[in-house]
Amino acid sequence: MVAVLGTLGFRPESLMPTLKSCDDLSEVVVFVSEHPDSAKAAARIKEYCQTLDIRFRLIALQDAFDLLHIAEIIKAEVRKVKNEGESIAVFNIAGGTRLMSAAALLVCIVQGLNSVYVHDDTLKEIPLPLLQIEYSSVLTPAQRNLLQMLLQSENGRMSQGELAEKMGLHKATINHHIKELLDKGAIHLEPKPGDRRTKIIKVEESMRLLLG
Amino acid sequence: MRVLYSTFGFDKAKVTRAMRALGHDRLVLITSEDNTFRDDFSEIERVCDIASTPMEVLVVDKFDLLQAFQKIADSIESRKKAREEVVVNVSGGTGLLSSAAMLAAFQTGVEAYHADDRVVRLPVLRLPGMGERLDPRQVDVLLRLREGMRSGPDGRSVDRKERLDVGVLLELKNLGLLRTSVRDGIEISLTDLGRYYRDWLIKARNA
Repeated sequence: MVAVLGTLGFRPESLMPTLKSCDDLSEVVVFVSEHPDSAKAAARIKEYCQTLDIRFRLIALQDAFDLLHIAEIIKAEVRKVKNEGESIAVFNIAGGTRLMSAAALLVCIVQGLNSVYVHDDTLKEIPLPLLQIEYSSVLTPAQRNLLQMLLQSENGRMSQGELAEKMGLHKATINHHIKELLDKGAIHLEPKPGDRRTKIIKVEESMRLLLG
Repeated sequence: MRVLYSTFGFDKAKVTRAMRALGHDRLVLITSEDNTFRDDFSEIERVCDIASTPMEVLVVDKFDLLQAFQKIADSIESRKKAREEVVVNVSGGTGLLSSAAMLAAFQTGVEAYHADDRVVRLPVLRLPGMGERLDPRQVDVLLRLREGMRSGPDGRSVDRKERLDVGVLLELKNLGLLRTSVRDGIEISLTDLGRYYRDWLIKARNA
């Protein structure tokens, strides 16, 4: 069971080389914006898939203006395909809006998915230099838990003391993990409002993409 | 010295938003040659002139994602070697330009943002470099591999008297760096990605 995923704009040609080059293709998942011309392009891909008895799924991105929102939707679909027991052969990021394409690439980097671009003129597939390894594999389980805890807090901020208490760990242990996460650029420190001597730990919302 | 790299197409607003949101001492515009003749480009130049911010242009091929990526990554690496802090904005220009800059930011482990109506920091981890994603055993085998090399089940190379760890070969295969086929033992060949990584490692070693 092999699936191909792709962002699609107005040109079915941007996705077709990937569909044709994939062995034993069983499912195609296409992400499109709400533009009518994208729907037309998707209809052509659907017709091709139906004729070849390949399962076709269309995901319309209703709010195609928020990078993280789109990336979360794409990530959820990737997880769905994997949970259905299919292996993702490749993610084609050549079509769609700039934002859709960037969001798809972001998911490919984070999830370690094989990804290709298709040249506009030659229609040649260009594999992107991404290792098939989850980007977050450099984080330890303890570091992941700490990030998860921070992401659950209000605005992704928490003091070191609060974090130690919520995680049931000694302050020195938390301090060690914080230092490592700071070195990796996964979190940063901000002065506490009203008390500049105390630092608050902050995690960016986008780190959510690395977890789960 | 903090250097802001920003992709640019035809809309100066994407760049000026990044300039406003992300402190910088120098601006590097990543764009294609034809975009340097646009009015918006001149306006960014003028703003930099007023602020006495040195501005450079990194011209890339707008149709060649890999060339653009490589050029941006090389430029960032040289800044990092000079101990300059680099921050990248990927919101300007075409999808190809954005993707090339994003790939470069992740591969070199520098801060990256998508500055639009909302300024979003991308989840880039500060890793030393793409070679660091592989462990020393994997790097060693990748550098010793030759096209069409054959290996017996014990890992001994048929063509050369050197031993390749079968476990490591399997790991590299799972990472998408090589493929194997059974023909008088196991024939090993690098994938495009494998060739790319090996070249990158050789370049990094010689730098």
